[in-house]
Amino acid sequence: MAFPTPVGTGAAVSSTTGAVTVPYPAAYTAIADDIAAIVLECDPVSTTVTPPTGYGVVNTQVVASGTTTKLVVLWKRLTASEAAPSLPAPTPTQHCHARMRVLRGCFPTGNPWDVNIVSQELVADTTVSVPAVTTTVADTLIWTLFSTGQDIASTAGATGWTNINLSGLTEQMDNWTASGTGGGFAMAEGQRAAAGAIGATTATLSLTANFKALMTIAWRPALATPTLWRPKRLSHPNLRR
Amino acid sequence: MPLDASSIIQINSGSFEASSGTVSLGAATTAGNMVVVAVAGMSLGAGANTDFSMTGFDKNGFAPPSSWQTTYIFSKGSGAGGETSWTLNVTVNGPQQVEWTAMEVQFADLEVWPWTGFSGIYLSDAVGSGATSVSTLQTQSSSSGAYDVLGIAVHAASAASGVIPDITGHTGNWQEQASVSRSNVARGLRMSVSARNYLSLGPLSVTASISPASPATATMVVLVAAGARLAPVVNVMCGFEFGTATTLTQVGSAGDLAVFDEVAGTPEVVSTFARTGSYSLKLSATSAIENASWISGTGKNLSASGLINGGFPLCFYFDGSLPGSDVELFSIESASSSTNSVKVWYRSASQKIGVKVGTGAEQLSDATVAANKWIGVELLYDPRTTSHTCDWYVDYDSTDATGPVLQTQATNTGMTADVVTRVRLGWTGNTTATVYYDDALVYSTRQAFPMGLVNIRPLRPDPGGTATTSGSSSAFNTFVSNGSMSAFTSAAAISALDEIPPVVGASADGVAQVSTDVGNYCRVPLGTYNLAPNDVARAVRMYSLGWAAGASAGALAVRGYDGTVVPHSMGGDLVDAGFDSAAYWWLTSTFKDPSSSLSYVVTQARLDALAIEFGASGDANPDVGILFALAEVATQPATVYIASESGAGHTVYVRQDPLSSAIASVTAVTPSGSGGTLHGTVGGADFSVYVPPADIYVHNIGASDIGEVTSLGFAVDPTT
Repeated sequence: MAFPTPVGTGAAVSSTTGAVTVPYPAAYTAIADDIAAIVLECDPVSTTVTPPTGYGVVNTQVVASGTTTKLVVLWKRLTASEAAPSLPAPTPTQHCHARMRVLRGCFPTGNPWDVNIVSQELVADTTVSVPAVTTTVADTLIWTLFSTGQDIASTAGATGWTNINLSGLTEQMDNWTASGTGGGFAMAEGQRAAAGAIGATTATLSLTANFKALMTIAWRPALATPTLWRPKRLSHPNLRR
Repeated sequence: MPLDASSIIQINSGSFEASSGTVSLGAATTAGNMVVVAVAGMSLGAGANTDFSMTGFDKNGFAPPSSWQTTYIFSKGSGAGGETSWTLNVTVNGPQQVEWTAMEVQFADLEVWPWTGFSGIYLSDAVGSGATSVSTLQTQSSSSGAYDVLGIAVHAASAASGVIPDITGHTGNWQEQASVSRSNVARGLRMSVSARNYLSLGPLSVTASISPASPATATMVVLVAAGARLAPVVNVMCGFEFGTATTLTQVGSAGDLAVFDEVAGTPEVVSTFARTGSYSLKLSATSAIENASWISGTGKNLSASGLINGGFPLCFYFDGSLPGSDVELFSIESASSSTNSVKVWYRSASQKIGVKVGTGAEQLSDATVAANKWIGVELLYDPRTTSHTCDWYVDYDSTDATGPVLQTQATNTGMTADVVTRVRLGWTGNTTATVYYDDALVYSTRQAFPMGLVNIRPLRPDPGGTATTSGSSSAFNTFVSNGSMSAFTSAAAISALDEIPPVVGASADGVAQVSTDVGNYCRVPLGTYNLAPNDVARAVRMYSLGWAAGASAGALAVRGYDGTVVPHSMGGDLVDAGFDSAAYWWLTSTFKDPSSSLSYVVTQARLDALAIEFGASGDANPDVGILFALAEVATQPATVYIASESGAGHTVYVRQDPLSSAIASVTAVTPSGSGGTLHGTVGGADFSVYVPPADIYVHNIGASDIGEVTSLGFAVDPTT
């Protein structure tokens, strides 16, 4: 097997009312079986998020007290050349903030993830600990993400992502908006070669101490293409006779 | 909108050494915001402090008598906004070194600030030379009563010239907002300003470290978020679970609280209908006045001086058919006149509920009411200005799943600013009607509105518990036949106090103190009510009836116990409790926070510990005791929200207190084919429970504070 491969990340978009198109990564044209995954933060937590046509929900986590926030990850196995999705207007909403990342090489049928976990941290501090998952297959691509409801425009909401069990852990999204009541999310991505517990991922919230919605997703790789067995040509000298 | 450090939308710091200086912000303030200025100034040493003033600001802080510097926090509403600078004056022993930090805070509740009605809204402390830390001290457990506050603290320390102390390590997740320092030939001074949001009632405090060890001072103020929910201060409640209406206003001595303070006509307490529990109040008259009231005054249920506001949820019931004429159902009244009130009517012409403030226009409910249903109404009467208002909800059937409906506010101008001095069930004019009432509660905290309807249940003496005495049990006897004494036993004591309705007279049984022992109490445990998974508790009222073998003076103290150190006095008298063996001598207490006399937080632990205590008699002659013990607990259903929801159908529901957000329980529902693990941290302890596919699992938590649950999550089973 091989790790799923990130293709790229689109621009973050926000809406207070109405539908909003969540763009693909720049210059990307949909390729069949790529996975489009949309991270979405909205408020109030009673908001019903209707996925775009063909998209499903990986998981949803809300923080319903303090500065409220709702964190959602949507996904779709793309078809060739299909257009970027239009996210229907959540109702009711004060804001909806979303960003897409495209992955290639995920498991080609059914759910493209191995495991996922959601949690809410009900401590208003600046430390972030995104819960661990235990992967059951090798070569997973791990997303570890959180959201808060702070009303601020920022692309520096999280720093110091750390998980010694993940390779190449790098922040891929960090987008807070002051649209409506505001809120945002950050996501870091890393690789986990062996199946097993990945441990918690920690980070520092650079914004105001807040409660957090947390999520970890282990994207499942496609099965490795089987190596066809081809018998060698017999070359014993005796056979040449 | 929570009030947190991000609510400080601009901040600026500076310093000067003069008799006055300018405090400024970088941009003009916005109307409706609050300006907060933290100040630290040098004094002249022990006993020679400076003082400060800022025109138009409230000043909270402290001039410590033995320290080198003072800390203050000035605050005011920015009014129309547009302000950028203010003058800070050194009014005593100037000029001095002064450091300041100005902050513009949005989303603060200016209406409750300055909050002079509550103690503990600001705190200060000082330590002398050699201090390595300084604390703001700790507020009372319910200092503000609000579930969303921003604490702003200022710490200051000074040292010899050339040395500026560091102030670091603010405890409890307080975040430093600014640090200012300066020095002159005499002293070096540093000020640190920090802030933290709290979503619970506290207590609040922050300690900072000082290096090198130096004289230090700290002050804290607590701002309340606009729109924050406050824990209700419940003044009185009644579910009528004592089962009798006999002399409901009678008490033995001044200061004792009766069930009601005034009664007109002949109210009954009946078991014919009850919304919760077994009893309700029946008011029935034929062209006559009939009502029961709680009023204000010394020894009255609505406090000595009246209530700032009147919050009043209750339920009523018409049996068989609606009344044939208008009925004045209940009212909240102010002192100045009979028209300075809000009255709630049943209007027969429209078959609706009408609410009318004074002589103002009556607002009718948005739908008709029906007989044979427990109709719920919650009022909030606000008579603080000359424009009185009444906000109200109607729940047309409080026993079904449909919730209450907000109604059009009733108002009246040209009134007298006043306080609430009477809450009345029933009618004040000659009326022919029969109305049943249940689950009534009065609170005075407008920021708790709408609190919602309550369910009031009885907690009787616990036959599974053990009655104890704190001293010799020989000081107490149980009795039957209104005075036939036997040696004290736990079982007999519990059995003697549990009749509903209580029996007074020849067949009365009870427990009495029979010999003098001022340090000896008898404690009789009451049963409990398990709140989780569905309910939260809002208030407790305890009832008893005093008894004495004769009418001559007999001392007895009676109090409610909830497991905490400070008991809740139910009255009695250590000279003459005023009881006899022939009449109903009521003793009641609606619990308040013992330290602040404000909102009382009902926890499962407190319910479990409920007991009645009596004794401490300094004469016990005649024998003196009680006939009856009962607690009523007011509960509400927890509100439910979906905490997480996977695409495969794993759903986690959380039930929480609608006011405090404390979590009562968590329910995990899994789809067929995939389970998962529910996990969380409660009180610092982790839990983890596997929920198999196609299952519903309920995890009871019963938290009384939002801070008890620090994490909650669900791990979905691997994809197969």
